[in-house]
Amino acid sequence: MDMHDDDDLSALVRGHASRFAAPPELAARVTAALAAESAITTAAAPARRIALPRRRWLEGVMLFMAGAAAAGVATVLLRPSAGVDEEEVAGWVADGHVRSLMADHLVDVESTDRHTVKPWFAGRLDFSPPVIDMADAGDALVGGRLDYLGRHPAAALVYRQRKHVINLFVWADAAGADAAPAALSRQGFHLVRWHEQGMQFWAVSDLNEPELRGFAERLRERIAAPAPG
Amino acid sequence: MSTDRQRRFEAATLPHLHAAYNLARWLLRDEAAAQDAVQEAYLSALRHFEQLRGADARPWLLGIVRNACHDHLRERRRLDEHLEWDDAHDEATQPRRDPMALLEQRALSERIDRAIARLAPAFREVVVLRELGECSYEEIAQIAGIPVGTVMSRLSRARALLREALRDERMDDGHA
Repeated sequence: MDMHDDDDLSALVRGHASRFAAPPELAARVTAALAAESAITTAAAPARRIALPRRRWLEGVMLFMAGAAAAGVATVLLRPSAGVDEEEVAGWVADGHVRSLMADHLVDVESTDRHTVKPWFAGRLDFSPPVIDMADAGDALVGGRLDYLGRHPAAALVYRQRKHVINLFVWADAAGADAAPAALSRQGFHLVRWHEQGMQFWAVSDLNEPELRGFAERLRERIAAPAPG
Repeated sequence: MSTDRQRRFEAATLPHLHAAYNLARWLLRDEAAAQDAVQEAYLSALRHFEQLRGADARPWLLGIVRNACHDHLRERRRLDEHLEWDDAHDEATQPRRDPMALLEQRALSERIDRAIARLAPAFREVVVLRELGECSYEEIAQIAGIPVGTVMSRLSRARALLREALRDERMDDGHA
């Protein structure tokens, strides 16, 4: 054990002393406490929107749909395209991205192999998100995670482009109309959202907007024309 | 429902949760107390978020965590304590290696942990911030609320104490 000078001692401490990682429940505990605190301090602030007429209209749609197709009611609530509240969903997506960037929280199943990631989701979601590796185009699949946006389960596929993490959130929205990618930003992150094949796709990253749009376009091309195997 | 302010706060501070917990865990030497202190610190930080004004959130947050820990220490009148390091507290997370290397590794880690744990809080915090938190002298000064010169003298004294403790232990153990 060499420790003749401060550098040796530093190296010894840095190399061998315990570093304590925050237990997973602490993050949940802290965010819950923060939400409660925020709710108290903003209780007096006026509501951001009055959604009653739209809600009424939406209820009508939901009643109709309940008759037409029992499935998917929960996902209708998560339908920004129906005018529910794109702002709110964008906030959830950005929140989900931030949560995932906390160490050890990025992926539940770590694999660059889509044949590992895809079955992992099968037992956990009632829809099947497309899992596509695009490492050849510079978007490497890192893995997948089950996440919650609002209170609804969503698949999160994690990609890395250079050193930038991209979270792609996917959830079922069978009743939604196909929509071309649209970009928005939240909390300093860029988001690109679109709808196809009965699913909502929301990509979020600290990449700039053209780069994130490029990612979305590459992904859409491959969803449209799946690679063999 | 979370507000924009809360979201901005979380984006700025949650990435430092592990650093915050590590500091609290080392200062309080107790998992439950460290979690409580971190939660209190985050709430207090949220209330004073406007103070930050776009500056680096990490030293600002660690300073609040540090103060929350000292409040805990004062409450429990532990400032002058010399409790034995409780090994049971400390399921160190070591990388898997071969058994012999692991044993040596564990023994060394435990000795170093014990030596740091036995430092008085004022010395322990500068060592933890410098060596485990990789903070600059200026950041430590900000976090601990002391001048940079004091940071350097405390660090130097803390290293001397650590060196001494590790040497003594080596003699006690009867082997090198």
